[in-house]
Amino acid sequence: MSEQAPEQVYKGRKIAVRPVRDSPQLFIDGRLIHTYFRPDSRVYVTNHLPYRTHGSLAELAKALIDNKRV
Amino acid sequence: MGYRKNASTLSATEKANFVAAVHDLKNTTLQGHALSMYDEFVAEHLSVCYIAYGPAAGTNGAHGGPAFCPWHREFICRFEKALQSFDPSVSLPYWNWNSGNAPDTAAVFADDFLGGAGTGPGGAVQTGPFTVANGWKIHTALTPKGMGNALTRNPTLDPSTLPATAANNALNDTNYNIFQPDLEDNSHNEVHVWVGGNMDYMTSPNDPVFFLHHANVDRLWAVWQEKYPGAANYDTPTAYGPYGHKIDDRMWPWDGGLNNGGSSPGWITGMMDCPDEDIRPYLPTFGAMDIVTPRMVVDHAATCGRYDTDPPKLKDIIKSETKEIIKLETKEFIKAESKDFSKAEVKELKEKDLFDGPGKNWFKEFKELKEKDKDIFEGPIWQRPGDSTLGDLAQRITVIEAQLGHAFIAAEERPPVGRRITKGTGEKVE
Repeated sequence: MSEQAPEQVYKGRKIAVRPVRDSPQLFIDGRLIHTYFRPDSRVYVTNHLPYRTHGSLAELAKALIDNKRV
Repeated sequence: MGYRKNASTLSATEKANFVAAVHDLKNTTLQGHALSMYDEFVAEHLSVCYIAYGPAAGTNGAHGGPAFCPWHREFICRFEKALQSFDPSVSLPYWNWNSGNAPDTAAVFADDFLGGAGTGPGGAVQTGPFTVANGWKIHTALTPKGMGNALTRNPTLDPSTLPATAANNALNDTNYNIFQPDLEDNSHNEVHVWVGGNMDYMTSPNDPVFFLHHANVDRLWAVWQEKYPGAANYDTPTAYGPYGHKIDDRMWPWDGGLNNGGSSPGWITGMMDCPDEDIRPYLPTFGAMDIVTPRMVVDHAATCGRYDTDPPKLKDIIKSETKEIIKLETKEFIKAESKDFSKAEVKELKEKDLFDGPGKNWFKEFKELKEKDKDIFEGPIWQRPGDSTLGDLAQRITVIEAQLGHAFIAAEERPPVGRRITKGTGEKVE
């Protein structure tokens, strides 16, 4: 799923990446998930799963669900 | 100044003292504070992960950027000093997880030190000094949702899966802005995940192994700095560096009140996976003069303790300088001693036709002296009675080596103790 792809359901959870003020934001089941984008290494991180980096917000969302962090 | 050792080299007493000091921190709450001294460290680490207000608002002040190394350097330094407030003999050991040696890790997770893997319900640690039964309970405000108050870890802690290679590869990065994310993402992060349980959350300092892990991360930074010295290499314009990450930025919470007074950073209710309560009331107050920037902690030896792997800089200088002085003095002495008796000198005198007049007497005196001091040519010159100069040199070497605790001049470079000088040439032979 690209950053602008439509919503998808993963393990029963609804993942959406929507632009908010020109910046893609991650939502899981409608809840905004706070993320950081690191431009130097072009990875996304979140404090919900602090010691992992992800290549996309969708990948990050799936990791959060897999690790039961949301 | 403390001296940080590989945890696997600690004596039983050193391990017991460290564990006792950690428990002292956990069991001591300062007057007017909401958390124990230990839990305040957990709260600070949690809070720096999302700074709510001030110039660093919306950022992580300690991770994902250049300040990762200096922020944690200061953090563990303060933790070590807190331990020393209970027991001045204690220093923060490091867990050498990149050594590739399983015993380095086994020693850390031994029952006489930090306890074992998570074998109980929910991955609760059930052995060692940091179990609930032994009084180690995670504070409710610092417990991730769904977790109890027991310290938790992964059920399997296999040393062979630690990121030793990644860490050692990072040491070859030539620029800080490559080294820092490499170290943080590819090895530091992996170790947090490897331990698991509490270590996999922003409240990771709940597990005391956090501090030994970060002592090793800090040691690796020190090793890297030794290879690529210079504070200028800390930051570049291309770095991911929000406020707090530039070399002269103030790092929260040691920002002198830059973010205090109603705009303090802290927990945003519901933003993260930890408690649904604001963590800010739990944070200690930091003084207006309590200011730390990355530049202030670039030199780890000046900031806090040294590591047992640090190169012995001063010792090396003393060794090198002393060695050179003694070599020079010895060379000069031998030169002076042999000069008057060399064949070249005699030949020169002959050529100058000095056998008539004063030169004749000189040569006669030389022959007499040569006979008298036969041992200079054929005997062990160090043993000549009354030869104080060489004796002094020998004594100086002995004293310096005793201070260093080992020999520092190679056998072939030593002054000619017991050596002989060849007849006529003045050259020394074994």
